[in-house]
Amino acid sequence: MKTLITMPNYDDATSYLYYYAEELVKFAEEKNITVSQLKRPRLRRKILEESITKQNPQLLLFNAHGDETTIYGDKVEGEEEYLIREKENHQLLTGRLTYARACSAAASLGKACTQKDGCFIGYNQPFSFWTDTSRTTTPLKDKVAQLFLQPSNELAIALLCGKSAREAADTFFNMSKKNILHLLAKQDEPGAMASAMLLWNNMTAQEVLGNEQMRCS
Amino acid sequence: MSEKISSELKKIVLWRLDTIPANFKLSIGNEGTFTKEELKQHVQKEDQIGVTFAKMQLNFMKALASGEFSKTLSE
Repeated sequence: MKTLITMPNYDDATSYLYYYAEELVKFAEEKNITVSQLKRPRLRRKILEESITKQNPQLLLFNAHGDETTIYGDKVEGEEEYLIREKENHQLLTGRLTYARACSAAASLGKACTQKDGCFIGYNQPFSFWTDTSRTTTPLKDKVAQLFLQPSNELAIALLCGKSAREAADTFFNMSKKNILHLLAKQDEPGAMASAMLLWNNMTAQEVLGNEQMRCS
Repeated sequence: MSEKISSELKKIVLWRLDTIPANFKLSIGNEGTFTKEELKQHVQKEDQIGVTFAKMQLNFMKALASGEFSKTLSE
């Protein structure tokens, strides 16, 4: 299985995603899965386009900011550079299995790139998470953020293990559900219901578009 | 942004934010990360971040009220 992963790291949100993406890279390498990592300075649109065209990865894992039509990469000269944008280069995702851990990209971009073939797992609303300000420099030790980011990592791990898009998305859904139940058991604890609220929003925002049975081997 | 937050919802969201620990910060996509005090200001101003956060709270309350939340958790 050939996999490509994007790893921006230029603000609080992307810093958390970066550390969690590193965990995915470690997992893939232990499984002898070839992973092409795009991080600064190689996290540029041209390099991504060339990598997809030349290496032909089956699985694409985007960790990024996003909106309805766009998945972003790095911040270049103060501005976020888009990596994939609807009607510009979204065809690059056609026929592939994509997981976009990014805001809102399932709302339109995901639909556009799965019209002919392929599968896109993403979110049709903002993907949000609480963080603990005392753990900003050590994201993997942040137990608050873990509630939201571990389910999304488990989704990506399921894809790396060859599970279908639907099975992987269900992994995210079920782990988020488990985390909500855990929070409800201690609902008097400050922040528990606020975390349950965000988990619920992420769960309901998740979409699997295109061929749900698609898997990588 | 033309969307606004109803005064009833605003009260609920602001009350909810009061219950959030001071060390919590919300990462909300491209918009950035926000402390609860910053979120309260955005809700008061009814700007895009405030409206987005209020919508999330409303979505959750609707799921609780309709039984969708309980149903999903029980499945």
